[in-house]
Amino acid sequence: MNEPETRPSDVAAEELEDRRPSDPGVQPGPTEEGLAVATRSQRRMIVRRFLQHRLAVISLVILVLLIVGSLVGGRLWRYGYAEQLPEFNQSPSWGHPMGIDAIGRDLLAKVLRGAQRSVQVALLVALLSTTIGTIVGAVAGYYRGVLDAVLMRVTDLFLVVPQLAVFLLLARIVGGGWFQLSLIIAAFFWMPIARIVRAEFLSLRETEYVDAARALGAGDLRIILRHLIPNAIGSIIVNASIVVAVAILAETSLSYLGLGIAAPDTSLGLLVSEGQSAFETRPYLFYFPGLLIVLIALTVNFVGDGLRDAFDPKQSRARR
Amino acid sequence: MRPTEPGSPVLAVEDLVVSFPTDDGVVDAVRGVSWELSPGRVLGVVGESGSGKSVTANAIMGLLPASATISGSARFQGEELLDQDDRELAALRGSRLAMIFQDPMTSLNPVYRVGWQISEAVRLHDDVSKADARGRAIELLDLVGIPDASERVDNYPHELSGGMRQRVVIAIAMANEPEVIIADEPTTALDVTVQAQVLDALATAREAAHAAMVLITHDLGVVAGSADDVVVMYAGRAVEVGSVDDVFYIPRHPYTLGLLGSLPRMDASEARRLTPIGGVPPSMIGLAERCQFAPRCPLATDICWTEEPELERTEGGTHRSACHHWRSLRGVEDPSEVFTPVDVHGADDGAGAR
Amino acid sequence: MSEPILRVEGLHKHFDVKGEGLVRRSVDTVQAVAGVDLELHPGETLGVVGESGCGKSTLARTIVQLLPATEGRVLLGDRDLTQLSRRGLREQRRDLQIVFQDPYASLDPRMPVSEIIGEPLRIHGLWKDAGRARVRELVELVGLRSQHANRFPHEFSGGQRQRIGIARALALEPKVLILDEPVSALDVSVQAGVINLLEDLQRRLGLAYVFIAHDLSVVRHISDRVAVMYLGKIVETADAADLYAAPSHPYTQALLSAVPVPDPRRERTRRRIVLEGDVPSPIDPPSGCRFRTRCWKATEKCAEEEPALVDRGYGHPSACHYAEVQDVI
Repeated sequence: MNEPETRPSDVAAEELEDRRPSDPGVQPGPTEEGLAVATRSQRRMIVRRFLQHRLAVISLVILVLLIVGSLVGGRLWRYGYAEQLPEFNQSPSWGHPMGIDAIGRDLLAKVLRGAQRSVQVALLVALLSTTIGTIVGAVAGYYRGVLDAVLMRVTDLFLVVPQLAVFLLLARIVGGGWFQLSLIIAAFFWMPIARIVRAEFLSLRETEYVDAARALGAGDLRIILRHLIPNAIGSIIVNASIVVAVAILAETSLSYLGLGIAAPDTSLGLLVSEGQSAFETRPYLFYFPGLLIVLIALTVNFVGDGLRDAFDPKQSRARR
Repeated sequence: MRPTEPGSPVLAVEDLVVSFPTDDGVVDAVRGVSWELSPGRVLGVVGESGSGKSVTANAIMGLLPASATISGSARFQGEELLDQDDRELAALRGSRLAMIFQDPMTSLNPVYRVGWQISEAVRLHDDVSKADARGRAIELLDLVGIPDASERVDNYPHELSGGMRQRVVIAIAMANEPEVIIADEPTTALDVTVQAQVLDALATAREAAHAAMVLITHDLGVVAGSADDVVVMYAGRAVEVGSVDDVFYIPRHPYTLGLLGSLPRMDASEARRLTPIGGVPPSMIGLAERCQFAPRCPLATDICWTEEPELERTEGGTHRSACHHWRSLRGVEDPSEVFTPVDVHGADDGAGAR
Repeated sequence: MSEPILRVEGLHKHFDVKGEGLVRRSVDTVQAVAGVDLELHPGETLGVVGESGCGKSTLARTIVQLLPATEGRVLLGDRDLTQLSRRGLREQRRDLQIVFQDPYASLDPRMPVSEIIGEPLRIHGLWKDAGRARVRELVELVGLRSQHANRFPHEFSGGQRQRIGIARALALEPKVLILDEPVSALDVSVQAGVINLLEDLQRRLGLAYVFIAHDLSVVRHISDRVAVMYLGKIVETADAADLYAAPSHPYTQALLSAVPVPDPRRERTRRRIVLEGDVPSPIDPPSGCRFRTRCWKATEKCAEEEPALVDRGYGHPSACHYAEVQDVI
């Protein structure tokens, strides 16, 4: 039987034999991995790696339930969020798991609606800001020179502007719809991503596989889309998930201040604002929406962690 | 210098076993290595990456991490090294037992002048004045062939080229007239003309101190040019041991033969097809009980897959081989008689068996 | 002798070293490649040897136009690559490809191997008809198994990754391959397999190679002709057998004499030329002959007059005023 060995490398021992592969006449680096037995597709491997991250998986489950619940639950629940019932100021009970507020609206219905809005805003903000930030960062990092300088100064400008003041101004002009709110928030969230993508691109563009692609005749667009972005995707995704979490907090803050989503629509922030005055007598009006905000932000963060680990193909073992 | 019985080895390793715990399991880096270094001679330890050659040296010098498990014996002038603690070893290191590593940039302290570092080495083990130590430093720099030694002595490491730095490292190693030098891949990262300079310096220094040397390398040419005796290592064990002429001209282990055959030759007048060894070295975790070279060996038979061969004497003298079939290599003139030179599905797997 | 398929004429590549401070003006120039002429004929292998800092990697990258040449021409057939637009250059890439040194860095870690090898086909619009089949063919051609093509680079060993790099370079059926230290990062026993593969491919596909390396034994083995580089210039060019048996330039002699051969008896009797000093900085190379600071034959003439790379009576060009044959192996 002449089968080759197929186990991973002995890293510890080889660390003592370590040599840098890029020097002439120097032996290759530590890993001499044999071929694994089963064929795995790229997608399956990413999924497998994500599943190894228990916290991320649990968070993902909770998050999915929350999102689905918020989108669908509103329709399924027997009370509408604006529907006024004859009772008011009732504590949580079987018929109304989150109680009823001062003017007779079922809190669970409102929370579901609020969650839906908050999630919508957060996702849209994440999408927009990630896209803008990635494009700006990619162009700056890849082309460098004057273009980079100009884009970075624009980025700095956005960073320096006092956000709250501008929000105030824009909110007055644009109105209280959730879509417009998302646009405004996104306008102030793309800068960190731009910086990070630019930093990644600056280092990635010097790699030998990018040289190889150029030598094959690849154009700039191909290199950016097929080589640089996929290798930067880990950072992009982690940042996008942070943006989702922060966007929820931003939206809730704005709505709390009365600058965001306005009645008759509702959001978690608005609910917290409405509920805070009754904090001592009817805490359920405050805690339910508040805890939900925290829960969403946390789960999004953990999922982001898990995604980042899953996308890095160099990691082949479960983390301790 | 401590007197020993004439003819007895200055450094004797016996059944050295080293293992490390890792995330994937226990790595058996060295699995029973025995060799001897005779006074005034150079022992070349040859092997590719993963063979355990560096780990052996580090074990002898007590430079392995605490998590490593070491057993066996390593005797320096009759004294057992493996049960000495770090303080006792430190007294030996740098004075009687010197070590030279691959990367001079990490062996030298970048914030101290080279002259100071040599003087340090001298004064650590010997009670001399600073002036005397400095004088010795200049002497040593001169010995290793550094031009303008009296000026260079005040240079910082980054002001010197790679080759010169390595020669400074040699100077430091020689500062206290060691009895044994262990050089671990001293020229691997260097250009070939610089390598020649460094090997030259090493030979000069060694002669001046009458030291014996263990020269660890993957480069068979360096071994042929510098070593008197050779140990060939594979998968944590010595697979062939002998004088340099024995190992190079009448190799008695298929791995040695394959290695020699896979080398392109500068002195070849005829274009020869290279005979690579198919496959890759085994992972050092959970090794099976068999000859570790069997998966890549054209001579392997059933016994090779079930029993790991011990080093046994071949034609007499000091020549030994760990192979069940070493006798089949008698009379083999060229590696291509045993390893097929064809590489179609080389793909680093499957042996090129005949 | 047939027409050369690749010609390099008076190639220079200089890098500006920027100064410190607010306005980073150029203060120095590194002359990495300082006037190189080369010729490559169809089906032959031209070895280019030199030590670190001689400019051979820069030469490789400049020939394939990854770096813009400062001066000089690179002629592929009759087209000057240095004068082509980006689009024009892309066309030429089908005939001229490069294999890199580092098997760990030259493959995109996020692309499966089939994508890596197929990329050139996609770029040049050749993927649609039978792209997948061609990739399978290439994988088998370099000695790997096509069922492994969906794997990622980190799942392969160094030697296998280098084969993948070779397969990628061959996808467009080039006529010329520039190989920049293709086996230097591999273990000795693995090197042999890749060298054999390169020889086989050359025979089967009629390729011409520029094989750049620092390992003189490897170069001797695979090359038909060899050029020796020092500090950005070629100092000697000859047929492989001639260069190794009868080198005439002192640097070539020193280089060859420094290489140890795995033959103990020969090593014991060899005369070693050990050079003094270090390689001068490419920012401020010595006047006249660049090798004179380490050469045992150097005279005043060497400092004043740069020796031309011409035949000195030994049948091949050598850039030394005092060229003289010596056997150093």
